[in-house]
Amino acid sequence: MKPSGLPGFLRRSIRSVDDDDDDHDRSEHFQQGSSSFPSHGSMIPPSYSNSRGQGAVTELNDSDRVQFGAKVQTDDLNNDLKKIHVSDGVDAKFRMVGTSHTLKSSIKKTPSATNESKGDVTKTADGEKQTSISPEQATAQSSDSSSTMTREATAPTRNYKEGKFDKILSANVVDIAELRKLAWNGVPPEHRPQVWKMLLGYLPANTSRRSQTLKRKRQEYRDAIAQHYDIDDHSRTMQEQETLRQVLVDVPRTAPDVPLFRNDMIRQSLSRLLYIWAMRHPASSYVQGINDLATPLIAVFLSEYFKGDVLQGEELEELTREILNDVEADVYWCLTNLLAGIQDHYTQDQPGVQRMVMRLEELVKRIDVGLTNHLEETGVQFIQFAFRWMNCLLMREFNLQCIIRLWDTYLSEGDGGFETFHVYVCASFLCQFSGELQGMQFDELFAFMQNIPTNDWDDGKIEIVLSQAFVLSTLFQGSDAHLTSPNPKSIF
Amino acid sequence: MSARVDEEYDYLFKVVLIGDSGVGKSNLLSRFTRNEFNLESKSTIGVEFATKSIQAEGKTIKAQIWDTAGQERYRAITSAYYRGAVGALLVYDISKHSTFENVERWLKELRDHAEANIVVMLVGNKSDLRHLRAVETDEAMAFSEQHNLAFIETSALDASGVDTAFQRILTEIYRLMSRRNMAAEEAANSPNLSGGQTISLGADAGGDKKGCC
Ligand SMILES: Nc1nc2c(ncn2[C@@H]2O[C@H](COP(=O)(O)OP(=O)(O)OP(=O)(O)O)[C@@H](O)[C@H]2O)c(=O)[nH]1
Ligand SMILES: [Mg+2]
Repeated sequence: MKPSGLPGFLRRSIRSVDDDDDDHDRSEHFQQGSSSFPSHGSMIPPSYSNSRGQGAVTELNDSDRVQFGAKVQTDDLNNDLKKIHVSDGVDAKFRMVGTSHTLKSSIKKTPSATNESKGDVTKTADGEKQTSISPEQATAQSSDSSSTMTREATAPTRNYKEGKFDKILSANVVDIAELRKLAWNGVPPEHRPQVWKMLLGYLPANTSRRSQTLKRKRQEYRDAIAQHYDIDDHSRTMQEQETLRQVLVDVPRTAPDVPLFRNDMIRQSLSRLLYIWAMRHPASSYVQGINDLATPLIAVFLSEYFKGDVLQGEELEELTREILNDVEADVYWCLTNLLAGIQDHYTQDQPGVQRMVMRLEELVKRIDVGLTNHLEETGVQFIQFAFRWMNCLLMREFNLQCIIRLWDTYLSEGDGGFETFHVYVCASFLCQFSGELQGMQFDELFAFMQNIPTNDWDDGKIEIVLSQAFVLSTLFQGSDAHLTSPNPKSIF
Repeated sequence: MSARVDEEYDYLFKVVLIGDSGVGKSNLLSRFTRNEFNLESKSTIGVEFATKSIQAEGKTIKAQIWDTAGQERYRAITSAYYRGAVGALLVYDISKHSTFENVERWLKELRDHAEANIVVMLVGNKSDLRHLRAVETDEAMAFSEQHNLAFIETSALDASGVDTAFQRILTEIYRLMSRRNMAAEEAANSPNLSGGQTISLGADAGGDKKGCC
């Protein structure tokens, strides 16, 4: 972490947050000192670091990967995670099925774990090369239970974090509060589709209600297509035609640098769901930037069906209409839920966006006087660069991979994630460049802000920003009214 | 701190790019300032900004160009950038008639938010799409004469007309301004303005150090 990322007094505060705050699950990032931020793979599970304190953290870092071949008993690591004996097979592919017992299991769970969860951690024992699940299979499994996941065990280990997710998600009724805590530090790719759908209030926490809900919602969406999209252009009002025109102008300009979004089928799905969302939400209708917000959802939900790199558009030729229809419906509903929490970002005059820009300015004024003064002197105003940060939730500033990691945390924050917490993230992000910016005059500074060099950013960098944002939020949230969200945090 | 010596210029003019979403404003800007075209550029959210200096009548003119978002919803934020602008390129897409019909609305935006004496040029972009042409050159020409606008057709894709469009509007602004200054000088009998000074037509075009809006 760049020491200059945060001003001195904040770096001091980081320590004090650690010292006297046990409740904040995410402050553990700083327990190792702000200069060695743990990498994605070794982030410390909150409950563990909280219950064990400093000494144990080191211990965990050494053993946070549960060796499949090493018969590790995890009781000592965390009492939440019941005994999982993992005994063999380091290179075979394995499959986890949340609610089905159909797969041959060579990973045994102790009764205590199995009793309370229907799900088993299973592994195909045949050890044969098993190609990706067939589309029909995927669809069937997915509508049966979205907790179905396949992945190739390229690494011989199942790490600690994945184990925790396995455990939480295999419960009959998923503990959403626990899931939030866990997901804050990042969700493993294989769990992401399911976790996001739950955190967005789409997939029921209760296993028994899932397939019904999905079936109903997907059908509802299909009906909406028939009602709004698959109709003659002449039966659209002028307003509707204009909305459709705007959507169609924007879809080819949506994440054009990501191969996935150059695919015609994907583009068609995107056009459709954006237009239908607009028809169903006339107060805002379609606003540019909403198209960006759909892209992480599409990428993540598709990843449930393919083991290749979805963003690179790998294996898209295997994409069937059937899969895409379901993905499209899921994206539509999840986008709807997400946008419901930030409605006034896109209504007339965009009060939500304006408010966030103001909060950002207030915040930066307090934490980085040098930068604030410099911006003032050069005549660059916050609204000039931060409008887009708010309107597109930094999606124009980062690659999609980084955004997906960012959203793990935003979604864990509940309603406030894309609003209140986002402002802290923006402040932290801006401060990363404080030094550089203070050496620039208007033209150069403005050009820099339009094209902030984040090409080399990865999850690790995002996590630094997130951690700093968290510290800011603990320092400022609630301390003054104008920095807190007018809406109380609510669970979806 | 790296003190940056600003390139020399005689005048700094602020120009805005306006028009419906998708007509090619951002690509006109990137073609002019960087000689780049992107078939899949992202939509503009709020405003973007770039500068380029040109020569006109022996003077170096630095254009500070603000590229605005075309969608209606952004009107409130983008219209703030009209303040202090001495020129506007009002862009439509020759292959989409509705973008031409909306030109009237854009003119009204300018009347409501920009300086009264702003120089406006009507730009019919995407002239390369000959087979898809929906707005005839004559029609647009007649319209611009009627509304006292300069007019040109361009293609950000094949670059035709782009430099000319910017060159012409900047030169026009310069001439107007010189005439006005001359008149003002004569009236006030004031000493000549020294070179290198930033002058603007509007009330608040701002110096190099100031962003305008
Ligand atoms: N054929 C052709 N296409 C063009 C031309 N200029 C722009 N385009 C394309 O038109 C689309 C929109 O261009 P932009 O420059 O993004 O449009 P804009 O006016 O900035 O749109 P907003 O930012 O949404 O207001 C892009 O796909 C461009 O590649 C042109 O001269 N010819
Ligand atoms: Mg644009």
